[in-house]
Amino acid sequence: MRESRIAESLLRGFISDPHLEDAILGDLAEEQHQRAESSGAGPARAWYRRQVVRSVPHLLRHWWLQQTPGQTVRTVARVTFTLVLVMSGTVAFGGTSPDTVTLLVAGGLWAAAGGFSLAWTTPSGAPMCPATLLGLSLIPASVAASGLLAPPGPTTWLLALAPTILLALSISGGMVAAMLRSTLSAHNSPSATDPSTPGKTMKTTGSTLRLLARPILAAATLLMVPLVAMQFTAEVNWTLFDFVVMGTLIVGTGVTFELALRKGDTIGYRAAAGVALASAFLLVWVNLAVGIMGSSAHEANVLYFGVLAVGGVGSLVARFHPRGMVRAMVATALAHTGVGVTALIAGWGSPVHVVGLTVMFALLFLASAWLFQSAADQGAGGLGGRRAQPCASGS
Amino acid sequence: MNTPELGKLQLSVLMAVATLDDEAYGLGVRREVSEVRGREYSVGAIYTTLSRLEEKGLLESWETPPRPERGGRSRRQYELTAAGRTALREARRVAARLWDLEPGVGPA
Repeated sequence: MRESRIAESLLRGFISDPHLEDAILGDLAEEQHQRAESSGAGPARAWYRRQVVRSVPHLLRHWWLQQTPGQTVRTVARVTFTLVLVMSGTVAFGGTSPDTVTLLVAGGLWAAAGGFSLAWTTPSGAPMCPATLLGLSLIPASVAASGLLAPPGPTTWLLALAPTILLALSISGGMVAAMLRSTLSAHNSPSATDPSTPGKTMKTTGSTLRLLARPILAAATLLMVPLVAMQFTAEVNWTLFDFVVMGTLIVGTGVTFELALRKGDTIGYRAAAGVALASAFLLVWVNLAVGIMGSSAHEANVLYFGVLAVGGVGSLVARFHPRGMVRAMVATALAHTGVGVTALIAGWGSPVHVVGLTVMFALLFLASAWLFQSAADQGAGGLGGRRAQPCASGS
Repeated sequence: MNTPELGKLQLSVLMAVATLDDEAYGLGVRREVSEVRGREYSVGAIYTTLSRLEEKGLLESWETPPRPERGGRSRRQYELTAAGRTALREARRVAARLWDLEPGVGPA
């Protein structure tokens, strides 16, 4: 049987000592296998997840104690800097808002971005630890800030949940970065793990630069259009925030597409990835520009980011393998339809717009699933990456 | 010679390693300690304790070849060092001296 990949990746992200990684993950795999034979796969998987959750505080403490004084100073500086950035970003883009939801969404996005950047830039093992430290430091910071920023209103109770939400989102951001790092390092493994390759660091860096080069170039070129237009007409009036959001969106979509190009070895797979990414890009764009439900200011439009989270997490869990991607895309289509049906029942936005856009995006995600299925039938992918071998008598 | 201070869990883990011999790796130690102490410990708690004892010089460890029943991963096998054996003897001596005082705590 296979261990839960998310649980395994989460745990791996907290292990600072590389010597212990195989020992810990191997112990869990061995005992999960034994438990699955005696009490079934479901309870064994639940036991595995409980073990991961209960191990995290010990591994976090171990990581902290293992650091040299210099490393501790650097970690504290990085986390403090990110904390200040998260808090100032939240105040800048949500602090003047009249409603609690916008404030919380702004804080949540910044917390997730902070967790992601800390985990992404952690030089060696345990990338999840600094992201978790950020989440923990956001608890008192958000309690203090909510007293200053809280707008009066019926949704003030949401602010009571803010510390938990921010902690969860900064850990989630770190988790996405850790899984992406793991996927990239698996992709680079032939050169990175070959001891006879002296330039492995340069190869990995070069690969990452190539991964980022075209998306950044594309973003810079596309963003020149509104930048130039703003010089000639008042009709186009983008703020710095608009540029940052659109730039992040284009680079994020581009990097994911670059990864898909590397992972897929058939036109079918690449087409499937292209349709999925174009749909996701369009969904975010439409949502930010005009909003699917009413205007872009309608709070319920936030739910569509949950739809994209389903697709994103599903793709990471599937490690971009075509068969897994079929499930991820079907889940995304279902989540999108669920949001549409909820909007119709709740009376959010114009029914014509909601039905039209729900059907259109659901069909696009399903089309992507169909293309991934075709690619899987043709044996596309051959996706590299270090995989644990199945258990000897594995189910 | 000064022996390092040992907490309850550290002492239990050290005793488990001494008892288990060939089975003295994380999973075996976790099961033994959980059984003796009557509560289930997480794999993280056991490995961070093993790592701490190794830093104190009471244990040494090595990696076995990859094993199929572990999904192709290796085990980390632990063994007591001379200092570890001394620490265990010292812990037994201290405990025995304390029990010689015959404290009235009733039957076990």
